[in-house]
Amino acid sequence: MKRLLMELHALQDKYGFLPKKRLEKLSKKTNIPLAIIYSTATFYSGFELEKQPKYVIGVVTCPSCIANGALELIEYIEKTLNLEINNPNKKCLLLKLQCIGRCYDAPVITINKKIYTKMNKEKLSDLLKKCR
Amino acid sequence: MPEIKINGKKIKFEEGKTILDVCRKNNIKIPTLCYHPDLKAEGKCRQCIVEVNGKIMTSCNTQAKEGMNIITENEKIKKYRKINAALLMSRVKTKDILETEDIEELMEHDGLFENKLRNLPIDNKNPAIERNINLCINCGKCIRKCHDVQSVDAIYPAFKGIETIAATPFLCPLDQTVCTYCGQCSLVCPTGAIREKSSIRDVEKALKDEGKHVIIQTAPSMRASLGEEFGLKPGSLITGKMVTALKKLGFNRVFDTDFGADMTTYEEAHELMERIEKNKNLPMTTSCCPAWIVFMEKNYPELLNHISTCKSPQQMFGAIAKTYYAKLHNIDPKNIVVVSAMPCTAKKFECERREMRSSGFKDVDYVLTTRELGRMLKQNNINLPSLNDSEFDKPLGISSGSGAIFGTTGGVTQAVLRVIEWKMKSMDVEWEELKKVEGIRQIKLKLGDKELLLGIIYGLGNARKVMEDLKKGKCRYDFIEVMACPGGCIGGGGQPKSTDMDIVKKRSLALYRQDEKLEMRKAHENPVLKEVYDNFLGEPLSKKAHKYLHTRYFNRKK
Repeated sequence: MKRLLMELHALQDKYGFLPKKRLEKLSKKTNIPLAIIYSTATFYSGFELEKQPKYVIGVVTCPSCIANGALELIEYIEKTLNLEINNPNKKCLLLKLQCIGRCYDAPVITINKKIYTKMNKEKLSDLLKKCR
Repeated sequence: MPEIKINGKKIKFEEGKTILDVCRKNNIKIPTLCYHPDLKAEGKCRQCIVEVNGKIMTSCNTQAKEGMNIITENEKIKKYRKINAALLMSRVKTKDILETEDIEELMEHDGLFENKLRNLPIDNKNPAIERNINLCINCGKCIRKCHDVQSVDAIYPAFKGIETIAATPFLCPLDQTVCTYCGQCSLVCPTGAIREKSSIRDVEKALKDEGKHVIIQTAPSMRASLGEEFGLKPGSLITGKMVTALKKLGFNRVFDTDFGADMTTYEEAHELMERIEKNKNLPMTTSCCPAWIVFMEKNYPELLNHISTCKSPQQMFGAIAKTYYAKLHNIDPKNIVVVSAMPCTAKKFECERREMRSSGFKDVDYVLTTRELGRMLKQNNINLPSLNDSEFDKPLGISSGSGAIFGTTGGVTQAVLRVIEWKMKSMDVEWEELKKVEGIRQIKLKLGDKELLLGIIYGLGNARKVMEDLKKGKCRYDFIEVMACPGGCIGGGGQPKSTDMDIVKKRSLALYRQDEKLEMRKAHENPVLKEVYDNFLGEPLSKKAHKYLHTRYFNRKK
């Protein structure tokens, strides 16, 4: 089972999600039933089963970040990119994140897993240029 | 013997038993839901909670220990049980639930979160099993059956928390998975989220149609289990009453699958002797269990040549009914409807297979499970226990004792050996050993100067172990009998929901009683069988026999 997680991580890193065909191949190679692989892949939030948009933007919405304006940032991103939370457009997906432990740098956002700290609207508008 | 205190009373118990076991043995009632005597206890539903030395614990998976002071019911426990029950039922519409014993007490708790009702599509694309996951309360019994007992792994829990469901990979319909349609999941499902795909309507329509000649065949194991649907004791033999009930339902003829079983026995015995003589494709495995066939087609297509090519009793019966019987009584086979009453959900899949049309028509039209037949009788106000006995119709209702024991593990082997003994004259085997109910059995057989090893297996999990050995060339058997369900057909996926191993053993004894009661106990002694061979098929394994009584298998591995 330990090996299964490693294999899933490798696929996730390579494709950005877990393609169905690849999981079927993995099941044959490792003799782990496909239902168990699917079960594991849906349990951990680190794995995606569908192709993700090019940019995945996460905004941390735990107390420290909210106190420093995270909700306003979400509103700003929604307006600039013309999308809603959890409802992606062609290029971008906006998500709420749980605390990632950088409270002293709040508010924190991530773009494709890269962390950006002490965000404000000016910094954000620069970052969002490529996402438009 | 160690001692514990339950509700203030001192009780002695055996070491290693759980608190629930001890309470049940002493007739102290504890409600359960996710507990099943044949499955590993998971302690998931928390209905079986008791107070142990002041602490709340699940009784199904806590071992009883010396000096425990247990209270099985007080206000606190009642309150906790109620909260847990409400949480379990929170995502289902209780009015859609098919009521079973397990769940009666939970029914009063309506969903906590009406707005969180699931709205997933119903999976009814396959002919055998219908899944409505919107009724699932996550007891996990189906998954323990599919994973622990059968090692099939068609379903497994997916997603997490409140979203958890028993899911197929990628939520695809069941026919695209490794499912064998054995139906063990439907046997343990407390809500009817997984149930057999019902053919009751089709059968009723056929019965109402004046132009149709509707005949029914009843499976060997049916007569030992149908009574339980009407509250009779497990192991009650109700053969005669069942025939009366079916006649009352309006079937034109009531026949017996035991006759089909006699034919299977006869053909299979000859096939086995031929294979032993030519030393070809050994070990030979039985072919009467449709779930086992699908299991092989989906998992071990390279071993398909080991399976006997004989059709199952159900399909042999269908093929003969629409050819020999139709000709004998001058009925157009087009107008014959063959219904079979089976303990099995996989039989529904088997009768739909494209190659099962050797009579030129669909050999068997509809399959009813034990549960469906019970429901149908109740709907028609037929109270089975109060009926008189009647006899099966002739000719296809005549059968030997060999046919009757087909329904239990080891039965097919015994039936085949009885024919071989008659043919080969010198044979030696421990008959009593064959009557046990155990997962994997090895039995030595002396045949002339040859020594053979027979394997008798039930449960697909056990079968997988043996097939892995066979793949590696480590299998020493010459003949393997496989039944997909625990205990054979008497523990089948279409049987009454109360089924567990204790009950299965009682049903097994009932079938042996039926066998001993009969004068004619060997397949080759069946006069109708002789007639069919003399007037229609010729010799066993002849060209005509191959056309109507044998089949082929396909690679369904993905």
